[in-house]
This record gives sequence, C-alpha cells and structure tokens, in this order.
Amino acid sequence: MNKITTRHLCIIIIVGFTLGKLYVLPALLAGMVGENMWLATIINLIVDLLLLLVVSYILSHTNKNISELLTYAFGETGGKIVCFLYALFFIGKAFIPIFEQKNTIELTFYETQPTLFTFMPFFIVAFYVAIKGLKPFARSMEFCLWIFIFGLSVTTILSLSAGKFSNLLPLFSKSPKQLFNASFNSLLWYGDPVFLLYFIGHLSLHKKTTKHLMLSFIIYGVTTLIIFIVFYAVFDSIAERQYYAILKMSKYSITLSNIGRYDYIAALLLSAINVYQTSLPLLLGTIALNDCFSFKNKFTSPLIIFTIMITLTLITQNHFFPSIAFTQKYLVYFFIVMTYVLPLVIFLLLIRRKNLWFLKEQKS
Amino acid sequence: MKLNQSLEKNVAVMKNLVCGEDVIYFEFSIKNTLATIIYVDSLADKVLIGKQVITPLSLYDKEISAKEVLKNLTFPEGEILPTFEKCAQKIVNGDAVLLINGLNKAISIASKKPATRTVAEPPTSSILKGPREGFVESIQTNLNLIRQRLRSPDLCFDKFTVGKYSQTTVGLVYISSIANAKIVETLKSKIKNVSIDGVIDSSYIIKMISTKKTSLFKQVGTTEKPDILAAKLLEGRIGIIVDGSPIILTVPFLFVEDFQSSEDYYVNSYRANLSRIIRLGAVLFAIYLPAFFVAAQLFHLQLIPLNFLLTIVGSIKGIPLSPSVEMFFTLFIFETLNEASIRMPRYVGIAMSVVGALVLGETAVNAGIVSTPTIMIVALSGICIYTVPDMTETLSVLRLLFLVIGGSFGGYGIILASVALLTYLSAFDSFSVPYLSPYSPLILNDLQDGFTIDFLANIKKRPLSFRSPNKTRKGDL
Repeated sequence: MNKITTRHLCIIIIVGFTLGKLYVLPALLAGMVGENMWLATIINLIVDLLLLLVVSYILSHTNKNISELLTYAFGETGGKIVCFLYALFFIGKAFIPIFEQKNTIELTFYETQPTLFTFMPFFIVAFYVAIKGLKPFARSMEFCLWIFIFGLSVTTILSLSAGKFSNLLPLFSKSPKQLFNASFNSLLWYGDPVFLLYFIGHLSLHKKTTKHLMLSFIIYGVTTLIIFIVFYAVFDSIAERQYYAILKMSKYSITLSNIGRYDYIAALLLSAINVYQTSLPLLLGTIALNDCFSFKNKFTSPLIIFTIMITLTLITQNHFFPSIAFTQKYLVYFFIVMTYVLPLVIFLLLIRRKNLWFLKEQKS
Repeated sequence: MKLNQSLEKNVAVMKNLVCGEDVIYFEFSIKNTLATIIYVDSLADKVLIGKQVITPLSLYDKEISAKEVLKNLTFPEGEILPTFEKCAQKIVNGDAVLLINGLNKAISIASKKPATRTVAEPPTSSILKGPREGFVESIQTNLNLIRQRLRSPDLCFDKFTVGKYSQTTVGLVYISSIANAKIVETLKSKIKNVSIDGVIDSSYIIKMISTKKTSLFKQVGTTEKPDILAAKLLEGRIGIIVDGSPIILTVPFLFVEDFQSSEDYYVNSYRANLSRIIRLGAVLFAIYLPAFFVAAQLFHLQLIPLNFLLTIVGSIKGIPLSPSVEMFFTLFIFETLNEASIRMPRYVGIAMSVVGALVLGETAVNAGIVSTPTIMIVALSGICIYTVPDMTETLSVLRLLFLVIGGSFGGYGIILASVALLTYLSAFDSFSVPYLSPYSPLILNDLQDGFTIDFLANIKKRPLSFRSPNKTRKGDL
C-alpha cells in the first residue's frame, strides 16, 4: 500500500504518455505526412513498445535502483557520468512539454493577457512535486486518471460532431521514406518508457507486471491514434496550423454556441494533469542529479534543475519552434542514445556479464 | 516521601501538600484509634464516604492493619498508598484518603463524584434517523455508552494520565482483535510522550499526536456520538477519550471520513449516495465557485455562457470595485457575520441575521457597492461549506486562498494550486494509512464506503487500508 505498484506505472503510461502527444505533435505530423500522420505514429509507437519491453524486463528482474544498476554496469565513475547525462536528458525532455504548456496557457486561456507571469507559478508547483518525490507523484496520478478520462472524453465527443473522416483518405498516400522521416522527426516526443527506469527500487511488483504494462501501452497507443484521427478529421488540410490540438478540436462543436465554452473546463482539467506530466522529467532529473552528486540537502538538486530550466525557458521563451528545430538537428542523437541505446546497453551488459542471476538473487 | 506512623505528623505533611479551603480533614476513631479521612469537598461524594467508610469503620473491631481495613470496606476500588505524593494525587483526583494512627500506609477510596450533564443529542451531529445519544464530559459515562454498544471482551481500554498540572485521564479504546497492533502501539507511545501543563480538551491531544502539527487539514477524526465511535472501532480505528471532553478522537483518519454521516448507514442506500455526492459537490462548489467566478470575469470571459455574461455585465455596471476586491469584501462581511453570530448571545442572533442578510446585503446591492451575482455566489458558497460541518475550518481558509490565487493568476493559477494541494494530500499519511485512501492509492474493497456507499449487506470486509488482522466483517447473508 505504501509502495509504488504496477498499477501506478500503468496509469503513468496511460495518462502521462498520452497527454504529452496531444499538443504540438499532431500539427507537426500533419505538416509532414498529412492524412497519413497516424501511420507515422504507429511506427513510433512500435519502437516505444520495444523499449518498454526492455525496460519492463529490467524492472521485473531487479530491485536495485537505477543508480546502483548504472554503477554495476559502468563502474563507479562511469555510473555517475551516466547519471549526470540522464539529469541533462531529463531537462531536455521537460523542455518541450513545458513550452507546450506555456504556449497553451498564454494563447488559449489568457488571450487578452499573454504574459510569462501567468505561467511562472508552474515552476513553484513543479518544484514542490519534485521535492515530494516519486510516491506522492504516483499516488496523485491515480486521481489524474479519472480527470483524464473525463477531460479527454468531453473533448473527443464534442469534436466528433465536427469531424469528417473521409479527410483521412487515401490511407497510404505517403511513401515509407516520408513516413519514416516523419517518425524520426517526432522522436523527441517519444521514448517515454525510459522514465520508468527511475522507478526501479521503489516498486512493489507482481508476476503479471510486464503484461499489464504492455496492455497499458496498447491503451495509450490506441487513445493517441484515435485523437490524431479525430484531429485530422476535424481540420483536414489546415491541421498543420492547429497547434495545441486538444484545445482546438472541440472548439467548433455546435453545442457550445448555446451554453458557453464548457469544453474549457475539460481543457483546464487536462492542463492540471499536464502539470504532473511536465513535472515528471523534472522530478526524475532531480533524482538523477542527486544520484550523481549525492547532495546532503534535499533542496540542492531540485534547485539546480529548476534554475537551469527557468533560465532556459526565459532565454528561449519566444523561440519555441526554432529551439525544437535546433534540438532536432543537433541533439536528437543524444536523445536517441539516452532513450533507446542506454537502456539496451544496461540490459545487454547485464546479460553478457552473466550477472543477471545476481540481481535475481538480490530480489529474492 | 514515605508516610510515618504518627497520624499527627502525616496530617501536617498532607496539609502542606494539598492546599485549599475545600480540602476536608475529618477525624474519627476506629476501635479507639484516631483516624483522619481527607477529601476535596467539591470532588468527593460525602454521603458515600459517610455511609460506606466512616459508619462501618466506627463499628470495626478487628486488628488494625491497612489490609484488614481495606478488606472491610465495601468499596470495590481501594488501594494502599505508601507515599505522601500518591496520597496527594488521589485526593486531587477526587478520591478520599484514610490515615490511621500507628500505620505508615494510607488507604485510598474511590469516592469521586463526577459533575456531569445528562446524556443528550449533541448539537453538532443532529440526525433524522438513528440513535440520539451523545457523549458527555465524564469519561466513565462515555465508556459506559461505548460498552453498551460493544459488549465484547475484546474491547480494550488503556488509561494514561496526561498534563503536569491537570492530571487528565486519557483513554485509548479499541477492539484488540480488529485494531492494528502497530497503530495502537504508536498511539500509546505518542500519548505517553505528551508533555504539557494541562489537557483542557481533547483538541489539545489532537495537536500533540498529529504528525504534521502545522497542517491545515484534519489528521484526527472527531465524534460526539457513541454509535459513530462503535462503528469506527468495528472498522479497525482506535478511539481516544479525554476526561472532561465530550468529543472523542479517532485514528487513523481519512480525508473521505468527513463526507460520511452516521445517517448514511441508517437510511436507504440510494438516498445515502445522493447525500454523499451532494456533499462532495457542495465542498467543491464552496472552494472553487468564488475563485472561478472572479477568474472568469478577469481572465476567461469565454467560460461564461452568453446569457449569464449579459446578466453579469448588467449587474456589475457602475460597481466601483474590481471583481476580486468585490468578492473579498462580500466574503469578509459574510465571515464577520458568521463569527459574530457564533459568539453573540442567542437572543441577538435573530436580529443579527436580519441585519446581516437583509439590511446589509440589500443595501449593499442598492448602493451599488457589490453586485447581485457576487452576493449570490458568496451565499451559495457559504451554504455549501456547512454541508460538511467538520470541514468548515479548512474549507473557509482554502476558499480565501483559492480566491487570492484565482484573482491573481486566473484559472491556470487555480489549477496549479489544486495540483499542489493534491500532491500535498497524496504525500500525507495518518498513522501509516494513506490520507486519500481508498482513492489514492486505489483500494477497490474500501470504495464500498468512500464518497459513495454500497448496500450495507454487500460490505463484507473491513477497510483494508487499516491493515486490520481481522478483515472479515461478516459472512454471506
């Protein structure tokens, strides 16, 4: 009861992973592959599913935390360096959701007063979430599941009336190369299963953990695809200009003109969950930095992470899309290494050194 | 300090130890031996002492020893005391102490006459259906009320004395085969470690045993009704009874508890569910309505339906205050009226209501200081807050907090504050039981009695969150 369980991880996959894809990504994908955006998404989802398999294998075969695993795999110094790299990686991973949220708030909720001031309290709350740790985060996500279901259902149902599903035809209009390019360019939004690595050592798992995680991933994948399909059905060729998809989709529902924009309530509720989803990489960054330097004061690590993040936000606040372009051009390989390669390396090293038995023994 | 054999010396020492004009030193003789009985006039039962101590001892003709004398008393609660300090303690507790010349031991006699009111329906927990008995200030009467409902040998009562000067009796009551032993032990050690001058009411104990002493949220449950306490003990909770207080404490405490009324278990399940949902909705309304109304006016006009927006525009025309200041002003008046109506004598209360509701409200609107929707929202929020009476203190502070945030940062600020609040509550444990259970962490079994309630016949297990050693409440019907 007092540990993080498989159920918490499943909720993080269903809620957190899905919500991260529903703001800027649909418009970007629509710009790259139009009506075939869902096909490009499937490619990304398959890659992430494989990553989740690797991560869940590691999860279910050890009770060591990630810091101990990295030390075990790369030695004392090597492990610390990788921890530091993960801290940097998580800052980078938080960059996109933070900006997505900031722009959503400024452009949608505060149309008359676009000011950074309205968004800055986010960092205070995220800092609070970070110092509270993984358990309160996981427990809060249980509440978020219900809010997520409600918010997403309202938005999707309202959007359906404005959708024209023939917009998605022809089904295979783009070449495989175009689809793979689109998938590659949207990699920054994926690779979320790597987050789960930082839950190792805090978990109370059962035998069916892998199955449940896979099932949750399928729910997340299907939900994401449904939203993308409805999004394109609503906007067609102008979809590429509809950033912050989840808020725009329901805007044109005819029921809203009579009773006010109650879809905003759903949007506000979803933005509450988005606060958690955005706080997760910052929380993990805090843990990674602490693993690296072993600070005595529990505030030191979050203070460093948040100072960097706020500075980054202030510097790039009016250059979101150029920043993404820069990241896609120069930093994407760093992302790939940290997201896909390192978990695989940990997994392979453990098997190659024939030391997996050691971890199992520790668990028993 | 040990007692002497000389009665004269013993009485002299006692007179120094226990001061006060109401301390009676009554001299009489037992078989030609001088004896003195000491008691506090205002605490002890004089008639009982006269009939059952002095009269039989005047006729006493056996050997004079502490044991023999004690045997011949018809009091079930007697004790032999070797020291002056213990004698003094017994006297101030309301017992009588008997000193006999030639004996270096005293005999205490439990002759306490508790000043107590009769058992009546508590004013804070009025119900339409169900038992109407309420706890009183006497710990003995309260125990009696509990034992009448739980006639089980497993019902345990552990007694402690807390307070350097008040020497208040604090009791733990629990069902040994149901309550979690670890929680009982934790609680015992917490109560033993309480260091305070005096415990005037059970609320002092709440502050002492709470894990987060500065928290806005309740960490200990309270009840004034024996039926509620009995039901909670049967779920695996532990009760804390404080002598002199009609409010019994229960731990562990869950957030959802305040939404549950004893009546929910006595009425039809459908009605009980409806009531609970109304309470939950009302609490959300009470906190969020003023804040969202101000935020919508200042930042998110598109949230308000057009017709309602036109009404608001019409009513706020000419109002000199900004929406947030206007809401603050109205809430301030409401809270002041509330504060005054609680403190002032009852006969002025009606006049106060008339002045507050009619004169002030009506005049403020007519004078163009506040708008009608604002008055309506404050009134609605004010009513909603009282649907869960035990949460009013917390809710009124939260309402103000959210109003400040909503007025400053708009809807997103309210959302952020809610996230912070949820995280805070999620991190909260009450005696190792998650505060937000059964919702976070989700415990499916316990959902039977959460914000909604299942049919009583279907609730077969005790709440799993308390980790009771005896999980089954009942078998199949």
